[in-house]
Amino acid sequence: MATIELKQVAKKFGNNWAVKPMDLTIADGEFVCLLGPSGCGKTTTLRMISGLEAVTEGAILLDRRDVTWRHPSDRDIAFVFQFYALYPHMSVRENIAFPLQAEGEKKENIDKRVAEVVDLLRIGHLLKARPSKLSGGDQQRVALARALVRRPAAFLMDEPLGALDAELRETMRAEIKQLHLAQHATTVYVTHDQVEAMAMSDRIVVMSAAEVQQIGSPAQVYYDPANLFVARFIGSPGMNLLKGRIDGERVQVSGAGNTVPIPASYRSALATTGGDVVAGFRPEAAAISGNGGSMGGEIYAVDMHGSYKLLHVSVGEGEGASIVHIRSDRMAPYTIGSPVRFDIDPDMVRFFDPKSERALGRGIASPAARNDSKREVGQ
Amino acid sequence: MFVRAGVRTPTHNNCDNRAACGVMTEVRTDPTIAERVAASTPEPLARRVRGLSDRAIAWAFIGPTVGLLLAINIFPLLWTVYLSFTNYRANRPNEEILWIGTRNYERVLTDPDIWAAMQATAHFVVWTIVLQTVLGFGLAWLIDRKFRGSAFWTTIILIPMMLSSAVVGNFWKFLYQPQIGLFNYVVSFFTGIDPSSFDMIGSVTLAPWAIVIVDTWMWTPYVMLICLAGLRSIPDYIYEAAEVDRASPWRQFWSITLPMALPFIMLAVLFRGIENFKMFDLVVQLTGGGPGSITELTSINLKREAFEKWRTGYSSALAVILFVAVFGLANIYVKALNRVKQR
Amino acid sequence: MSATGLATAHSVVAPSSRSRKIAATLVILYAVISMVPLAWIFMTSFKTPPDSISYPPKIVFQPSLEGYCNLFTTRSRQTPEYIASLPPPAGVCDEVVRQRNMVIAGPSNYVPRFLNSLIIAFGSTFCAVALGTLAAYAFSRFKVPLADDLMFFILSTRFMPPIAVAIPIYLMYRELGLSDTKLGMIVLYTAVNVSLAVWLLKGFIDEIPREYEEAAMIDGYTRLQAFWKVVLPQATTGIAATAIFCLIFAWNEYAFALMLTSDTARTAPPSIATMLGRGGIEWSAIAAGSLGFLIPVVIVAFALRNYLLRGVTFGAIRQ
Repeated sequence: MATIELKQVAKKFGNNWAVKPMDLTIADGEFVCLLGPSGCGKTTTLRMISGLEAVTEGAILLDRRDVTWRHPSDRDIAFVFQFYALYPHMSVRENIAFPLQAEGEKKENIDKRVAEVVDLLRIGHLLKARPSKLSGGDQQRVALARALVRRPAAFLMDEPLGALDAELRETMRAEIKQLHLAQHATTVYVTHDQVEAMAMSDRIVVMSAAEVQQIGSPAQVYYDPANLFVARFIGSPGMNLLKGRIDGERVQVSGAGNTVPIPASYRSALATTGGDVVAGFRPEAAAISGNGGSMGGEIYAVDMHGSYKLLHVSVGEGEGASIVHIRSDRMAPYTIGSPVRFDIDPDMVRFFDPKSERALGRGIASPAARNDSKREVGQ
Repeated sequence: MFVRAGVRTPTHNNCDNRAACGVMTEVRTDPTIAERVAASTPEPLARRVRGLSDRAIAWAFIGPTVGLLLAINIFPLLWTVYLSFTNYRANRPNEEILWIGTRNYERVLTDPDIWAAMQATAHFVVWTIVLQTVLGFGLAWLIDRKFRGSAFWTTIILIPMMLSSAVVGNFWKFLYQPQIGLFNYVVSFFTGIDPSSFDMIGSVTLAPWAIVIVDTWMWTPYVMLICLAGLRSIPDYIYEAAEVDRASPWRQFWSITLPMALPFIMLAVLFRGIENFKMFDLVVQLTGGGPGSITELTSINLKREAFEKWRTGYSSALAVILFVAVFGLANIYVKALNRVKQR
Repeated sequence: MSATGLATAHSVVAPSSRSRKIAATLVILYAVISMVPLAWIFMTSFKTPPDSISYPPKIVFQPSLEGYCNLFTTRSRQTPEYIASLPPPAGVCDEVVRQRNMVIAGPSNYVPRFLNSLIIAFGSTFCAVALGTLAAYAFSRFKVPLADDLMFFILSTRFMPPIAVAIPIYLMYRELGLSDTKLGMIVLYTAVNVSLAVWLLKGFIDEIPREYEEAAMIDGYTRLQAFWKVVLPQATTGIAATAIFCLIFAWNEYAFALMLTSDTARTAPPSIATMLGRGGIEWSAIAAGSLGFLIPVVIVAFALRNYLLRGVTFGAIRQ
């Protein structure tokens, strides 16, 4: 097993940055997700780590060994492709044995190690089949087996579940996580699905427009987004973000009568701004409060999510009008068009500079929020 | 689908029961049951279709093609089969036609000329396939390196295969002339052999190779094109996976490139094999079957029997034998090809 | 990720620039060598007959139109005294021919043969593509009983050696009065080409989603109207690719033309061949005739090469 270090690694295609210079250190045995919308550079980053793609600048260290200009075959990594990339003319067994044969391994060793991974992934009954005859999930298991069989220093996975349907994705997600726990192998995993990233990783690298936006644990990127992009991108729906002006201990947002509280710990950080600020809070930070609440609006739509209801509340009028999402009790009855008032938990409010879009006073959020286990955050 | 359209029962009655309809759509995934359901379920659209029914359109569309093929291909073929059992001679239409059983077939199969022609054909087919496959695949593999201008040069390379083989045979005859021909001149330029000392189409040993060279010049591009399609059908990520799996370039070629392109290569071999088994125009124009009958391929022999000697019955028997041979060999080959493809 | 397309250009599986250079060199070398015979024909067509058979072969020569003059005319030999008594030459060919002690007796049959080729090739291509489109549509959209067998039957006619059916077709055409007629040749070439046309076109039409026609039919069009207004316009690429194949075949066909035509419907390929026999071998005239016949195909092929490539590779993948 190995550590992976990226030092100012960057990639240019012609004059366009595919990945702007980035630093990343991945610890031995860590599971790191590269998360972002399509075209953000996450796959390119992964391919640079694998050596399939040459870097334009920077250095890549694998287990403190500089491999920047090494061929993929010299890097001791395994790569799981989005469309599995199984060799269609070989049987499952031949596919799994291929990397060992390429190394010139002895036949009895090959048999032994193939048997091991086949057991681990429970695909013994498929060995003679051709990949095209298998379901998507089984193809992915075979692809994983082919990656595992060589016992590489690190696993690189490029949206391995992207081609599967929703139900199978959840099953395979759990299987990959289980494999990671059992093998304790350093893993870099690319996905555009934030639920997947939240559920699986030790740390998430959020990328957008060829740039790293934030690196942090799932709880950090969820509760403490580094900028507006992360705030919007993580969570479904994303964070409620309202433009406002600081007014003493509160922020005035979305027209008359609507305010968001400023926690005491943020006051000094906010004092340096000109007064304009973007206030953000998660849907679960708001609580319906009969008549009293600091904010109010009209119910615009109600989504039933099973264990909870999500209210779309239209707040304010004219310029400041916006839709705020609120998580609410699944049993409570709501009528579309009726007024509603709510309060916001001060501990869960975050602030952003409207010009730079960066978070203000980051890192002073309550320890409770930051130490939240990721399991509770996912969904 | 048009089978169902003919049944003019009101469509939506079947669907009044929503549950039944729901079940039906699920069942459709199973082909055999789907057939039965389909037969009892008129196509919802059919009711809306004014004018001709789908069945009528289908027959109106397919009919002319099938009719034409029956008239110009199948009917003559059956006629050929009939004639092969008679002593008919087309240049004496008024003579009585006698049924002589399988005597024509016996004659064909014991005729040493036919076996000589078969041998000449086999030599021609085997060597053109070997050369064209090696050259064609090699070229395709090089073109797949995607160098600058590869599209332009590919088109240049394709030109010979678009030409008329009769005309090609004709002008290669010019190139092969001893003394004045370019081919002999170039050979002598590089080897020092006297250009008038060898005659590509006049020599018994060289003429079989003369036709192989011209056919290879003409049809290598075709094999190249099909091989190129095969190479392009291998996605890049397969090679990436092989890189990560630490396969050497040599191993990648033998374990991935070649086996994955194999169905295409086999297809090219099939097409060229059939075409060259039937080869006529190029060789007729180039050598006329000579010298002697050294390059007299079966088709040329057949043409001579049928239209010069006017032994219609005899040549019909030969035609039937050729057809059965091509058809049978092609079928066996296609089975093998499908086995390769199925993997 | 959308960057993948770009990415492969930089990736390790992309060939190195050295291997690309080697590949380019070899491919260009092959292309140039394979063009030498055609270049030679081109040069020969502009040589005088003595130049065309000189040894060593002349690469530098005085260009002459004599080959083309001989191609388009028939000539008769006359005494120098007679030629001297004629009025001054009316054109280039007159002059060229008189230097060889000949006079132009009349036009050769090259032009009529060429026109026959044009009429028969285009006529049969049109018919084959039209029939093929209809049949391919029916096979693609309707559940035809025994569809697979029918399709196989249609394809199998392609395996048939032309000579195997030539005798009965010859007899049949003799009975029907179709021997040596353009109509007869058009019908024959249509039958040969239609099998390929059905196969290629079915593949192309299969690729057009049914939803377009269904939408049109729900909007009140009949199936025929939907076919005409929705399917045909979308199938033009496939139809063009198929048409080129049929055209090249019909243009180049030799065996049937040799056996079934003699004069009124004789096409260019067998007639270029017979030019050999007349009054010694006039290689420059033959070269000129070959060139005139080959160039249209090369031009068509170059202009429409993308369709052509698609047709070949597509046909290969499907079958």
